[in-house]
Amino acid sequence: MISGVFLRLLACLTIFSFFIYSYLDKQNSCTELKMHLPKLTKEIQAINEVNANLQYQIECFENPQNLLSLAGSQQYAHLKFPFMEEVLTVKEGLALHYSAPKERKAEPAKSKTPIVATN
Amino acid sequence: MSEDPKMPPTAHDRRLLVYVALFLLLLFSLVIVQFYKIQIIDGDKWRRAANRQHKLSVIEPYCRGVFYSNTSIKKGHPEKAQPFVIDVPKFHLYADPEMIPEACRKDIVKRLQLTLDLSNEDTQKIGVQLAKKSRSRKLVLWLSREMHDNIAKWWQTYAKSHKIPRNALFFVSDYKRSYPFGKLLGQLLHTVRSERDQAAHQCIPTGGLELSLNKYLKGEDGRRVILRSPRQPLETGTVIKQPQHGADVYLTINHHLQAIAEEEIAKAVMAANSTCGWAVMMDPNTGEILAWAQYPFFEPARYKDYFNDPKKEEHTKVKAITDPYEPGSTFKDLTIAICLRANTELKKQGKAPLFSIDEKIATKARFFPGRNKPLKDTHHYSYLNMYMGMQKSSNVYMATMIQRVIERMGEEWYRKALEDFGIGTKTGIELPAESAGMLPRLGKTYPNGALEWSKATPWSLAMGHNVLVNSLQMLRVYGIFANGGYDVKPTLIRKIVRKDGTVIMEHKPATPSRRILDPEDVKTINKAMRFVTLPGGTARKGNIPGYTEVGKTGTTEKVINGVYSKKDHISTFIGFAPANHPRIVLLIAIDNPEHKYTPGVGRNQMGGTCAAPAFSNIGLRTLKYLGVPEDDPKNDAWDKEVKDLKVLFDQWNHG
Repeated sequence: MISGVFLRLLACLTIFSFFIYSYLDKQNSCTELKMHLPKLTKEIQAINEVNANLQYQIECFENPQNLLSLAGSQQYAHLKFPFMEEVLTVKEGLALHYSAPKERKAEPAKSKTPIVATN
Repeated sequence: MSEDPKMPPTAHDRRLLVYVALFLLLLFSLVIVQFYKIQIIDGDKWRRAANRQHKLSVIEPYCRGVFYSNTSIKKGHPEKAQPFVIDVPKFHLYADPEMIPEACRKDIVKRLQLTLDLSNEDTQKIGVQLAKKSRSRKLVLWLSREMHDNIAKWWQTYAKSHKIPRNALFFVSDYKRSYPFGKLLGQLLHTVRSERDQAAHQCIPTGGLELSLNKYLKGEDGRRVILRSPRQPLETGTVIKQPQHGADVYLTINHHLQAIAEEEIAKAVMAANSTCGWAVMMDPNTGEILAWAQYPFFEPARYKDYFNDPKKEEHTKVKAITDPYEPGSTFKDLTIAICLRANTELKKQGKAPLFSIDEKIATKARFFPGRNKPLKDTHHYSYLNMYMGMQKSSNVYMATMIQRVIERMGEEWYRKALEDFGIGTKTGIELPAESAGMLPRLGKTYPNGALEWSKATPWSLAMGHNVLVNSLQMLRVYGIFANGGYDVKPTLIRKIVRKDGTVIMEHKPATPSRRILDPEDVKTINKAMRFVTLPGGTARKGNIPGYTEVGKTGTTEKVINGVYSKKDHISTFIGFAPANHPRIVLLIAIDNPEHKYTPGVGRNQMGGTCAAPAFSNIGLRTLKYLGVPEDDPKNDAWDKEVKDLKVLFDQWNHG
């Protein structure tokens, strides 16, 4: 009788201890993650800063004055702005349908008109 | 107390025990009462004191609104949003002087001088700041991330070795207005001062769009709390109030067209050896300004250099709207438009018209009422019709036409017609300091007592004298000619959008717009202006190869010390292209071109010599960029009309 109560008590204590342990373990993991948060926040902030600086550098390079001087150089002399009538505007869905590999047939290009997809 | 431990406690012992327990209880109660007083009654006071002692509240800066270029003007070329200005994160270095021992201050100043490569003057200023009794002093502004890291690295070891709390030096982040395109659109954008307003902690605009749109661009700072604890590393803390960022402004100006206009206007100003020049380009149908260039340029990033130099300060102004001028011959198109309008009105009333386009009008020098000198042209012409009058820019022809207007319609009608075209009123462009110009008023006097509108005023107005306009007002007039006779309001803004995507303001052209001119009259004026850039006209250099164009030159003497100067001019060319379906209307103004004659070229100061080439160059590059198909590839679209006009002109004047 007494040994039966003792066994049941032992089982309860074991289960209780297991849950307590897993709860504490979870708490520890959470705390560990929380401890990483400030560092990660700082890293994200630093990445954002670098991003903004890179964005600025890219814009500096894409300065239209630079691009115009590049366009005037011999290397790009063959390029020209297309006339409006040479630009065909097709809807995005149509453009995707047109370029689907299954429906595409090997046909010779009929026109050299550039096609620009827009939304 | 009984001496034998086995003996039960006596009554005396028990009493003593109770006294001791009561005494301890009393002491404990006193502690509780004191706790209650500190925590509950004086809680707020001590919390504030503790916060003051341990926490430092710093500003979490807002991001000011950004200006974007108009990247949707080309068909089939969707481009990503292109900013004219970017807010780049930077750092300000602050100090808490009360935490820094006096013995270390000199050393710190010296180390900062070495690390940041500061001048002696700036170093002295840091010394002064560190000597102040304060908990927060600004030492150095706008540090880059590299500089920030260098200082932080040095300071951590220095502070540890000298037992100074690490937060005695700290950084506050801020956004610096940076211009990736440098001087591009400088005068219009302007900038903000490097230091904010101390009270409101807001940016202080120096002018331009930054000033006029400040209420949209500005935001509201947030707050961040930092612990003063020596263990607290630099730059951590909790944001207690999120910053409210400013709204972004999407401009009508395209950065490529702006670059083209700036390059060409700089060339034109240098070629004419003039002091200044500007070019303004507008879409005549919507009123959207596509480019607005002014040379010499203004670099917003170096604004202090400009404002500290009286000579350079002049270049910070947007002269196209702040400096009104006498439009001269570019006003003659307006004169013709008003005459044609009078004709249309008279026809509607069933009366005889003022004149016919092909009418042979005597244009010999002659007196007009109120003038003490005969009015004459630069070259002698005996007879001209309307087309020749425009082609040769005849003063006598225009004055004769206006004389008829005054006789039939009256002076008030004439003045009202000029007002309808926006002369004498501001265009309402979104920039500060626009001048309304000056249109003389009937019956009013100048401060010196002279009548604003005298007997001779209409003849002067007919050729663009005795009236002051800003460049945008003239561009608007030509916009009306270009869009078929509808009123057009110039604008620089397409939309203003908050960071969360809410559209605060969007430009939509008024539909239907007010009609100013009859469509037939517009066609007639445009046909007359076409002869200006063709053989026999005053601005052959304004011809755009491959395209048809319409335009008019103007060369006016500037008023210096109250008299017309023979050597100081303002030369302009205004026109649009292509002639039949105009995409752009463009104004070129060259201020003070060198007064000289070059054989084979002509008089340098004339609008046809110094301003028209810039019109041609900017027009050609713009139309190519926009992909507008050529409508006159051989430049012979109007050969027959030009030849016929020349034959008639020779018959009337040299026959």
